[in-house]
Amino acid sequence: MANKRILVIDDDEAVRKAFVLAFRDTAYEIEAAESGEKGIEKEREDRYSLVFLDLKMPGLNGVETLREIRKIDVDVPVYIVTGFHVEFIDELKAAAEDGLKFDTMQKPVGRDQLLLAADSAIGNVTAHP
Amino acid sequence: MKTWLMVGAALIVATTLVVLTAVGQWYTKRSLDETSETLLTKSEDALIIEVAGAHEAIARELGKAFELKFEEVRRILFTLSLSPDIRHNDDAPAAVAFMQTILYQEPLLLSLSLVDAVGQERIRLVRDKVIDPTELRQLTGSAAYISARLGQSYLSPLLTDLQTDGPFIELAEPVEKFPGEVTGVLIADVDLSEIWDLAGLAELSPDSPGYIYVVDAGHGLLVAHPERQRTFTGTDPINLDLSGRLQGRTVSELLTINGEAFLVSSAHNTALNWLVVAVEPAEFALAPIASQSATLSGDFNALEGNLLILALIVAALLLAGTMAVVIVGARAIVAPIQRLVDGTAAVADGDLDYRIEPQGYREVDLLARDFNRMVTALGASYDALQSEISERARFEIALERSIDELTESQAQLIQAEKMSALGTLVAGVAHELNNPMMGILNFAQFCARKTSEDDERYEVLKDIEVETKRCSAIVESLLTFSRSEHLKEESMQPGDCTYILKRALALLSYRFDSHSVSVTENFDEETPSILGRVNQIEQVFLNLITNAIHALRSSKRQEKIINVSVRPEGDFVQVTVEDNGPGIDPEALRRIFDPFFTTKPTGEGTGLGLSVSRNIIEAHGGEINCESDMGFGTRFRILLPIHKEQT
Repeated sequence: MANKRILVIDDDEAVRKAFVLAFRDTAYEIEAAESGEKGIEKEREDRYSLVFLDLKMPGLNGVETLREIRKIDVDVPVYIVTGFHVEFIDELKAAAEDGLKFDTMQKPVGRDQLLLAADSAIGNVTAHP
Repeated sequence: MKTWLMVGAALIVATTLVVLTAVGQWYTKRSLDETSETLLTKSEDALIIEVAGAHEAIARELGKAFELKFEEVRRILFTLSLSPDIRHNDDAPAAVAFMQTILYQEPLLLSLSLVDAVGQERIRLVRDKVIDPTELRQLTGSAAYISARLGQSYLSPLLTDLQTDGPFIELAEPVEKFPGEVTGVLIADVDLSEIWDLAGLAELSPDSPGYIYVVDAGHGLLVAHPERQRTFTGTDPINLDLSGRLQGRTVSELLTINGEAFLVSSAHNTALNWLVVAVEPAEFALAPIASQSATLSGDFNALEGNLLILALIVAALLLAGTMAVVIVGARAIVAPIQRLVDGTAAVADGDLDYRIEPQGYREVDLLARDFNRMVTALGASYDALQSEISERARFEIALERSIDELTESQAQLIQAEKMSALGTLVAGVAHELNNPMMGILNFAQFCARKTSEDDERYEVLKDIEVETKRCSAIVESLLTFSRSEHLKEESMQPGDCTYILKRALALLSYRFDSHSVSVTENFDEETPSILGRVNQIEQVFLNLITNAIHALRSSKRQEKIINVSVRPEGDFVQVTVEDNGPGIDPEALRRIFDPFFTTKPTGEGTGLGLSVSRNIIEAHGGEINCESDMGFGTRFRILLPIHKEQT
């Protein structure tokens, strides 16, 4: 596995902070972006091994951001972490039908689940404290 | 009918005329011969009696002629009162037209009125003029109205038109809607000018200075007098003592009036209560006696007078004959019409089996035939109406039921609307709560990690974590509820289970890759459609596949396989989702469809997926069950009814 860098894109500061605290003291490095646009910029500058992506955001929403990310990197694992709001179901379905790869996680997500996701996506790392 | 009746009447009149004229001529000739002899031989008294008798006859016949004239008018009124337009008084234009025709045909009639049951004039015609409704009279107090309203024909005493001084008589006839039920009154004013003409023409003899006048015995007013201006305003010109001359009597006597002797003969007509009086100076009347040796020329004068009297009698008889013909004719018309009237009344009383037999009068029979046809049609439409009423009653019951059902489904619709609105609100709130909860959860977890397990704060931080997850479960159930409310709005439509399942698989394809799960498909191409809410069905498939992926995630197997199949099964379409995961223990299997039951770690599953799935399938009239062998795998089986219309 290349690096252990994770990108979280979420407009909610509490959520970004939750990610940062969850991955503190692990082998993973986490960076946060507060919008789809900034996230895409970061992905373009530095490649990440895993992306956590919010769905409902001002500006580009999660699905639109996902489409842009896939233009940069077809394979990077993307978890859409969301309340799964009804209004995005059709867009998500369309994205899946277009062959865009992603997985979903339902907010709120705790540390265990986040680490499990990271482990399975990036490859097993050492045991987490 | 009218035609041959008229022709018949005319024939009778003509025949009578010829016969009477022949008899008259023969009689004249004979009397000429006789008179020349008898005049010379008869005594004075006998002559007086003879002259007086002749005068009396003239007076009597005149009275009778007047009576017949009025009787004719009364008959006309009676016939008019039988007309349906008049009787029902509900078609004013038709009644007016009929009354106009009568007025036109009978010049004696000055006016004609139709009065209703309470004395209010409804229609009034004066000659050819229809009186404006605002000028119609209230006749409750009039003798004519009262009498006719009580069912009696009425003939007034002589009346005078206050504006024209014209004399007239008022006749009234009851109008009966049904026999015995007087619903109105017909009133006619009869012009008396012609009466004068009749009286005026009635000379006693040629060159006679005598005259005839008529007085209404009721109030003594003159009805007719040769000096026309005296008539209708004046009283008896000779102040005749009427006592002893009434009660239908015929009286002659020699009276001295203003110092001059007169032969006064009178005849009282009881029907009219009129007295017809013939007055002739005695000198003239008894002239034949004064000159017993009078020349034949004088005799011939008398004879000619006789002839005239005869002519008058003939005229009167002719008149009477005509009247009789008219009356008989009227009866002939009225009787069959009366049967029609009886028939109408019977039908009006509900006897729809009533039929009128042919009478032998063509027009009346045509009318009777039409009447019978009408009654038959009435009976038929009555029957049709009856059946329609009962049909309608049945329909109303069905309608009420439909309305009840409609009301109920409307209430359900309103409830659904409410729930939908609530669902949208809840979804928004729940979704917004998820972000802060994710913060709280991870903050608590972080703090707990940084706190020694010996620290008493450690347990509290762990409690925060647990309680936050509980909040999250509550929010999730709210979201599930809101989603299911949204799904309820979806309409039922034909759907292909294979297609829906393929979509669900495509949506989750990435997870298969990331968890090294392979999918085997087993689709029967001949599977018929189902009728359902496609998105809900898809949600169920997504739930089952997601559960299978979850089950396989912890599997130690080399080959992680999900097998899906769609095929017809009797009246159902069967869909299976099968995994070769670790299986479910029997205790958990029993509760697998219970709400909030989950084996997943807290935060991952809500325990609602399968519960909601079962609700959805059962709402479609289908069923869902689960079989599991520990160590070998789990199989979910769904049955959905085939869309009936295509089978």
